[in-house]
Amino acid sequence: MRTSSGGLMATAAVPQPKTSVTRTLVAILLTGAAVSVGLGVYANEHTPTGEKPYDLFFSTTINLKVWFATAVIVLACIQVLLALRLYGKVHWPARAPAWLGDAHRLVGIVAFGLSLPIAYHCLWSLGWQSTTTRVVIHSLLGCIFYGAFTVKVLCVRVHSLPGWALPVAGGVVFAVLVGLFLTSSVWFFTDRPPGIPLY
Amino acid sequence: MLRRIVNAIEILAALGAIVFVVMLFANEPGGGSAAPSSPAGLFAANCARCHGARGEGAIGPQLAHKVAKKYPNVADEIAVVTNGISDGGMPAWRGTLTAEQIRQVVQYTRTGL
Repeated sequence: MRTSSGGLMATAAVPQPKTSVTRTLVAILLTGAAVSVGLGVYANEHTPTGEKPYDLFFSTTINLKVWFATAVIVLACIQVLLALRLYGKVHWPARAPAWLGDAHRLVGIVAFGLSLPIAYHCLWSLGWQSTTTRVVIHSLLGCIFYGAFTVKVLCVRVHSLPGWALPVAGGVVFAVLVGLFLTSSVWFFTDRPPGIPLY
Repeated sequence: MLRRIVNAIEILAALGAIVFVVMLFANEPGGGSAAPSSPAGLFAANCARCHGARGEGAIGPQLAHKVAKKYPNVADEIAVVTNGISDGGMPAWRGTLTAEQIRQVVQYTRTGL
């Protein structure tokens, strides 16, 4: 925004009516909830195909998903570290390079891209499952993840939100992702049925 | 320069998300038309997600051409499906499927796959 003297004023100095901010936040949360509920309804209503549509160089689609999910969680950890540096919560490197924000975005985009084939197989081939506690939690978190991701992306794009909104949204996305990883890849690494290959 | 690359990749990711949604609704498999109440439909709806669409195995073991050899007595396989295997990842299907449905789907795994 330009001041009366023609200089640039920080956007944070523009006061937003509190009700407007609240409405924006509620709209963003409702959008995320709609995404989560939509995925949940699809997963529940769609008849699971049981198909294994792709495996690249892995034994089966399940193995591909396990290792893609591992890559996603590694990228998510890198993204959290980059975010901590961007917010000045860690001080290494001492001088943050100019490309740090772009690197943060790039890592997030790649992680999101890798998550899509995982989610596609989960939704289209497996559907909503409730046979064990693990798969119920995994199904639930899977649907919540893309809703939380939507909220996070919207928090990035909408600049009138309070400063805590984006870190909280990012933290929720990361926490849900960790839950998904624990109930899928970690379970596969530690408790998969005998005879199932690791790769 | 990096920003341009990131912007381009972001657009690709957005397109990927759109393709993802379209594929969910457009890509119905050929074998997905079995009636849910038929043995094949029961297998597709409840068993295929772990044992594969044709019982070829996935996160669960292969059933096609194997399960009848592993359980020569059909009652043993029915007991496994009914009660599950607590340390093997196989859930108990009593309460989800009726005894008759379990009998039908077990028969399907032995002769229909």
